[in-house]
Amino acid sequence: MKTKIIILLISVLSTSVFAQEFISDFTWNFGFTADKLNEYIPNNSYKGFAIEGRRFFDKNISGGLSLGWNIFDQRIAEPITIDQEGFGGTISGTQIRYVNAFPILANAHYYIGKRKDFRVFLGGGVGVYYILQRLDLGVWMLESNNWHFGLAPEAGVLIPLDDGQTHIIVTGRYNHAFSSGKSIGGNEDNSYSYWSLNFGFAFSSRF
Amino acid sequence: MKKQFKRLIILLLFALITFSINSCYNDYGLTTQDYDLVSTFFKKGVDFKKFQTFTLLDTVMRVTNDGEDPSNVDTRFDKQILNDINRNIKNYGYTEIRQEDVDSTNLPSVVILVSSVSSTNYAYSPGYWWGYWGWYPGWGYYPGYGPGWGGYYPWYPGGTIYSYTTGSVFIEMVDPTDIDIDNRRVNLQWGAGINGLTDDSSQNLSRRIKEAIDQSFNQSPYLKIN
Repeated sequence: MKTKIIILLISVLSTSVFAQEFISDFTWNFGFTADKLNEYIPNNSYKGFAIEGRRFFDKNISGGLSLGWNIFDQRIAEPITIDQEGFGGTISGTQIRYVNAFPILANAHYYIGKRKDFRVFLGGGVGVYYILQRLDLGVWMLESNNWHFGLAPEAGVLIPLDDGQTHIIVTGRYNHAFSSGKSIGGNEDNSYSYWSLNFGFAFSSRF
Repeated sequence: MKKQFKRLIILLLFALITFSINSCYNDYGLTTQDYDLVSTFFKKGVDFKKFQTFTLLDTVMRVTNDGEDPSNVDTRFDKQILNDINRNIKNYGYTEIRQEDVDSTNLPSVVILVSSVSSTNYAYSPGYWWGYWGWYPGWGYYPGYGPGWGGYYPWYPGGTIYSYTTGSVFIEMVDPTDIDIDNRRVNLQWGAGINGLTDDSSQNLSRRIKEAIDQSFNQSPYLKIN
């Protein structure tokens, strides 16, 4: 057993030592709300970005880290209806609903295509989302901030530019932050989901 | 040349991000009126059509902090507030029995109470209910009423109404016969809370108060009996 672990460690370290490529990228992220987040904020968002680093462990597989920020907000004028045991009611006034999502994800991708050529990749991330949910209602403010475990399957393309080191990167990602407590409305499930379409530049270098 | 190209791309990207993300919380350029809030609550199971008459008490009670002089409170809009409520409740089909006309043979179906809060960080406790409304001689025509009575507000957790940092008006509709003698409280049939910023011109405040009182009735169509 001990020998097997040592062999495994050496093989992992060997691939690291002989890794060929490191990619860093910056993307502008468009967010499209889904599921419960869509019920809270129907609007989509163009306010988001991410930075990412990917290290290749062989020609087609990379692992890395991704940090992002997506902002969703919407001004809503529809009244809130209250239906509780014994009483009901209505609250009318301007609402502004906010969700700020900060994904911190370890990622892995598999690539089809050669370096310096057009490449397609599939993969995803696993990690945590720090999510700030807020409701401004009149002069009142309700807030719920939580850490969530999350998953983010992803697919994208790398389009090389003339110098061969700079690429246009386009990715589509489904972000799901699992429930970790109550929402500000008192619901037991405070999970969040959104799609993001990300455009940016990736910079490739060799080690 | 390549490095300069990369730097240019990075700068452009950050410029785009800065353009797209102004802050975590966009304020949408709200005006003073956008902060106005109208909340209404009703007791479930009440058939408001059984109420035909009302008495609107002629005083807007001032809810103040301990030691605060109530005479310092702005009373400019009291008459307008009472008139706006009176107009709306009559439009919904209720007949007024004026406070001075109430006696044992002429009792209203519901009594409407109006109070306001303009002090900051004050929690309005229903425990003071009798302290504010006990002066109304009409309670004497019903059994049990006396000092220590409170209003029952199931819609406010913990039995208090929040602390307010702005101007608020509360409208309460009570059926004096719907009472809980053991707990010494009168059950509210309907309540409205109007809350907003008071930093505005007198003319605008007057308009906003009218609109908010109208809204409190508009969003409570179940009150209508005609």
